Amino acid sequence: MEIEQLFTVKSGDFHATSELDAGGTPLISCGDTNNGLVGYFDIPEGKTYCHCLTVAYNGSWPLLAKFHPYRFGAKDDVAVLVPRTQLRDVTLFYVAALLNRMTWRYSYGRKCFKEKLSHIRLSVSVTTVGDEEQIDEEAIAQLFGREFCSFIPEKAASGGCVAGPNGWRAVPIVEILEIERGDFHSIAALDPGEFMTISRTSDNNGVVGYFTAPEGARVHPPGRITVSTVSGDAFVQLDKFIATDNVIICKPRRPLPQAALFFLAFMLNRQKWRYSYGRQCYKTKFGSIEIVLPVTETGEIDEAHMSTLVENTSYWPIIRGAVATNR
Amino acid sequence: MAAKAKSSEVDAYVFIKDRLKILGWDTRNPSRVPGGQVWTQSECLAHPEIKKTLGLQKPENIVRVRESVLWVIEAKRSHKQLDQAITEAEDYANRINTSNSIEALFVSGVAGNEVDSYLVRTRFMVCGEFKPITMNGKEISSLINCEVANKVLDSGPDIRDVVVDEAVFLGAAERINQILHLGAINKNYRASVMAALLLSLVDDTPPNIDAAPTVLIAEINSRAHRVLQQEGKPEFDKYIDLRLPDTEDNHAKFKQALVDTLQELNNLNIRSAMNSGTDVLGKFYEVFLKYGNGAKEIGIVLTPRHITKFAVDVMDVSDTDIVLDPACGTAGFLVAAFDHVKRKYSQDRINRFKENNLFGIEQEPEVVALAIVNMIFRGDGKNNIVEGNCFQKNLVRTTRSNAVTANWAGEKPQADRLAITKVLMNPPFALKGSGEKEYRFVDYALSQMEDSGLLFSVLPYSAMVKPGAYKEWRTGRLLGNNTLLAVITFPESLFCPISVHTLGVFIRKGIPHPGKQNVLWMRALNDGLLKSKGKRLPNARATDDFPEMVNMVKSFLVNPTMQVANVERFQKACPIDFSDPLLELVPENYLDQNPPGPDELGDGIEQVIRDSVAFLIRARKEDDWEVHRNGD
Repeated sequence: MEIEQLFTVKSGDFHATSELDAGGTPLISCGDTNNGLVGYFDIPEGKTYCHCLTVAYNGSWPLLAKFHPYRFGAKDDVAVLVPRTQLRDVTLFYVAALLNRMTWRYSYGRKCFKEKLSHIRLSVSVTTVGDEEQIDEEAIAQLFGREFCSFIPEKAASGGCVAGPNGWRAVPIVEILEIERGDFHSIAALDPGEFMTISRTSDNNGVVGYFTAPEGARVHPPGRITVSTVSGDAFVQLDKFIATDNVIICKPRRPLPQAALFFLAFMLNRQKWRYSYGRQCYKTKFGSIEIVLPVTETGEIDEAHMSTLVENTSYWPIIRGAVATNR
Repeated sequence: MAAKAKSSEVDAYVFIKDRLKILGWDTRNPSRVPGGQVWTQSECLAHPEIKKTLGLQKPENIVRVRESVLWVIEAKRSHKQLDQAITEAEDYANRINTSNSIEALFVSGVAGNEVDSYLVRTRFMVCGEFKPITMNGKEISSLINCEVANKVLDSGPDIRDVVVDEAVFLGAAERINQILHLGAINKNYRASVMAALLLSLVDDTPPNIDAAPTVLIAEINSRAHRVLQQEGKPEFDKYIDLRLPDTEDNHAKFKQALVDTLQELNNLNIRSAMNSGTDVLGKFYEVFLKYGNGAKEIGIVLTPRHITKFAVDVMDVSDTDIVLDPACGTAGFLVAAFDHVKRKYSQDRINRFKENNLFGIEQEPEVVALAIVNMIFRGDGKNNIVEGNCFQKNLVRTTRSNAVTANWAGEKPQADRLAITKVLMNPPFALKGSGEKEYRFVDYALSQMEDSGLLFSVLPYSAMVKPGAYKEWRTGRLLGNNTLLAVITFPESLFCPISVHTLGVFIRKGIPHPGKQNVLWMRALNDGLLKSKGKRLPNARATDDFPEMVNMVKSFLVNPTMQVANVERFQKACPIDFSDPLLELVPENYLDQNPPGPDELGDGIEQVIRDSVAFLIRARKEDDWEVHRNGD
């Protein structure tokens, strides 16, 4: 079937984010990260879509398709595929997957404009109702075996409002964390392997791949905070890992609840602006910083308050489950 | 040159429509589309009143400026028919003006074709007669945009200080780069070509672009040389001299590039713009060199004009200051200083200032040529900008016609013969492996200043945080001999498309930094510009930190003991922490950050957890995931 048999193909409505005021509606562009999201803007209701696919006209991957089961606006570097009749989420995913298999045809700057896109043929099972050919959604559903909603983590009920801390105190980072540097310089020399490898990147929890540990490299246990010396990004690691030398590894000086580690990561991330202009955050410098932490009436670091704030978030049960089953 | 046999008015139709579109007019047919503003020849008689007054005669285009105000455009196919075009446009307008409901107050004649380029003349009706439209005292050479049309309607045909549309300038700079590229003009030579062409436009009559290549080039050179002679700058002849390519095959191509470039400059009304109160030409250079002329390769990072203005405003340059820029590029700081003085003083004092008080050095001769051209158009052809290596040149105080000034000299002057009171600079940023560190330029500039002189420099961020030689400079020569007054972090993409993070430093010469004296630390992360498709342009939605900083910085430079409000992550005044082993002299090291409020705390922690969950979903196998879901 051709795309236009299943969808009305529309071009996105906005040329540049500079046309829009900040707001609450996601805006989708042709980028290949973060599901194409470029920010949240004030988008008029009439120019929003929901439960549709977007397909990149250009960018790094023309034809890259993404599913958006929420209300969104679109830039004009993507097409919005609006189903002509209601389609199941799983069908939309399937169509997106088929399109994504074809992105190689549009590499090297060969763009995929509306006209081309509308006539792309999809290999899908069809059924015939009367004289009309229709996509066989049942067959697609059987291929997957699961509905989309089963992929979405369950959101916990809010634990209610948490009272503010008793007070705040600036605490030298080394009072609560032991810090050390990663062990090796280059990942280019490593063979693919089993160890999650942390480097300076700001994305993907700092993970750059899975490699074998080079000679002399320590394998760090779960429950450490890693900090990129380049960007200052802090992540809690829930699996064992190895790390490059542009990463600082922070080990709690005394046992801390896992939730409190996430609180510390948040507080470290608040300081990223201090390291945003190529002012690297080396071990010595990092060791001299202070972060503000909630304290009890007696001035002790209030671990319980830190943990409560984290445990009160919507998806904490997922993390707790992951902690319980550390690989 | 006669028009080519195949050229016709049709070429001009495309030119007119394209230009009107670039100028912001809605070129759709007003009779069909409510917002449309431009009728073509075949469409204009659809308007009953136009039809009634013109009968069956039709100009090339009629533009609806306002509901009842029209603009008639008539085109001809060769340059020599320009007079005829404007006369016919006036005839059409006069007929329309017999109407009681509409009036044609603007007329334009367009003459030329795609090969020879187009000449444009635009007029406005005053007391029943069409008069040339002048902008900043110069007759415009282009079609007009809506803003200009409205300004003329409101205040007559002599208008001043029209706001520069940076997007239009940017577009022209990009097109000129492309034209010069197609003309096989090497990018290192383009600045010279531009300088020569601009100087050739100083005269009220334009060069004869219909002449043969050799004749046209000779004329442009002769015009440029004459201006340089008049301004006492004959030594720059050699940097501006246009030369025909060696192979005759390329002569026509070269000439075409010159003609097309002149067309673009005329479209911009460059002569009028250069005569304005703002540094329009500097802005043009900035985009022309920045987006594609090898500026990066030779380490040139032209200072954006809003930064030069900011620095001059906070340093409050006066007519008694002697100003130096030891790496002046296209003279952005010197032009800003001159404009600042021009706004404040009488003509006598301005004249004395421009002859005696502005000094610049630039090591790239072609760039110096652009600087000279800019200053000539600013009314300061007698400036003291020289080409060469600043480390080999010194300034010695002297007196000329009862005015304190300086002379270039080879020898370093005695302390009592130092002349410079203010330095404004943006030194070339050190290329990798280069020994020419930025601080050497700062040291040099300080060596030329009298004690208590004030220096502003743009520096790469790294200069104030790097260990090694940079740190030695900070601890030793910078703070050991001088006082650091203020450091301001600049917007991250200030020098886009060059990726370099910068800051501005203010230094008082000659007093070792008092350990307890406050330094003003500020972060100006927004400058009213937004980046789109690799270009930064003014945008009403963007915030601008600079205007609100001017008074604070200006006052602090005069009185560093003043009280400064501590605004987290934005501004603070405090002493340098000499116990810092790295001695990082940047705001990010000194500014405070408050504890998070309830919203930041809630949102921030939620975000950390969401990011971690997203990572788990991506990274872990499905079996693990099932376990997590059932983890309780």
